[in-house]
Amino acid sequence: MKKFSETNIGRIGRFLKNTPNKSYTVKDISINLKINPKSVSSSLSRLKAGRNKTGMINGRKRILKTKSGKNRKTAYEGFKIGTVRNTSKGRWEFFTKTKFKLWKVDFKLIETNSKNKKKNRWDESGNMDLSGHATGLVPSSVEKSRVVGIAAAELFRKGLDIMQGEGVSLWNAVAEDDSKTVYLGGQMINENPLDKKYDSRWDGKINFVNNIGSSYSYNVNFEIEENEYD
Amino acid sequence: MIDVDRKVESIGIDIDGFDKPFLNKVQHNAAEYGNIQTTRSKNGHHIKIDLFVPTTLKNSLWIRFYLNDDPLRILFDAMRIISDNDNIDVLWDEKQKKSINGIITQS
Repeated sequence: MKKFSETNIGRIGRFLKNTPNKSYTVKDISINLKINPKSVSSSLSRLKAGRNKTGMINGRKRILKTKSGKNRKTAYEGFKIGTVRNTSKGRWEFFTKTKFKLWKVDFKLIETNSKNKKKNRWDESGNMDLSGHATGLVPSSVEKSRVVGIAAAELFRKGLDIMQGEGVSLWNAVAEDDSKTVYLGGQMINENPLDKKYDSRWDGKINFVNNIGSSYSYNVNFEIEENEYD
Repeated sequence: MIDVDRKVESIGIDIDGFDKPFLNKVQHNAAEYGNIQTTRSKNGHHIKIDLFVPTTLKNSLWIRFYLNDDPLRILFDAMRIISDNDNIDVLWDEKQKKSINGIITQS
């Protein structure tokens, strides 16, 4: 019986599927799998759009057409149409929805160097400034308000701890739930991070300007367990 | 000092400049060690190699040297190993020449 070797489409599809959401150039795939770049390019296009669907028409095998006259397509097994896609010019990936998203949260004590010091100042000197940001993973289903309420608030508390360690005590001067003195925010920055597992660690920076205008920057990290968002 | 016999599973190569034949040569050589993933950088290309066989941290520096990785970056990482800084590969980080002085002073 004749043995069939695996097709280029199968090899390329398997290669991309083994590393989901990781994009490769045609040349990368060509070098990694030792396949001619032209074949790689053509195989990727086929995996992306599917193959023509054929059927018997008037006793002959013909490519089936849609109502608008385009060829009907059928996906290759395991590669639903749209899962293999080109992310940017010349880069291809196997797309899968991830369970986590990458978020960036930030906080800022409301401007203290504005003219209206009575309203805005949080310190007697009136011109200090404290802000911070951090990035970390959040389960996909969690809403923005919850991310801000948990992660940004934790960042803010860590920021105050760091300042306490540096000799600037603010714990009694500000409250995280007072939106007049503290701004807490957050935004999703990557819908499909490469992380396969949840990582509780958040990393970021705290920026502080003292009363004579000198700037200081401190690294900050903290942990938020997955179940804290429940 | 960081354990130089610890295993690493991927290596990053930084290629400065846009010399296509040179890039091609490095890509083909790199593919002998693992699956490569090339991305454009500001000054050239980055190649990430997911190794077929994990190697030691010490060997990874030699492989990078053989694959013509930016010598400054190799030096930078060697300094990080000596100074016990665990964040080894600086491929995706910002490289600043002045930072090396800081690391030398620390160690």
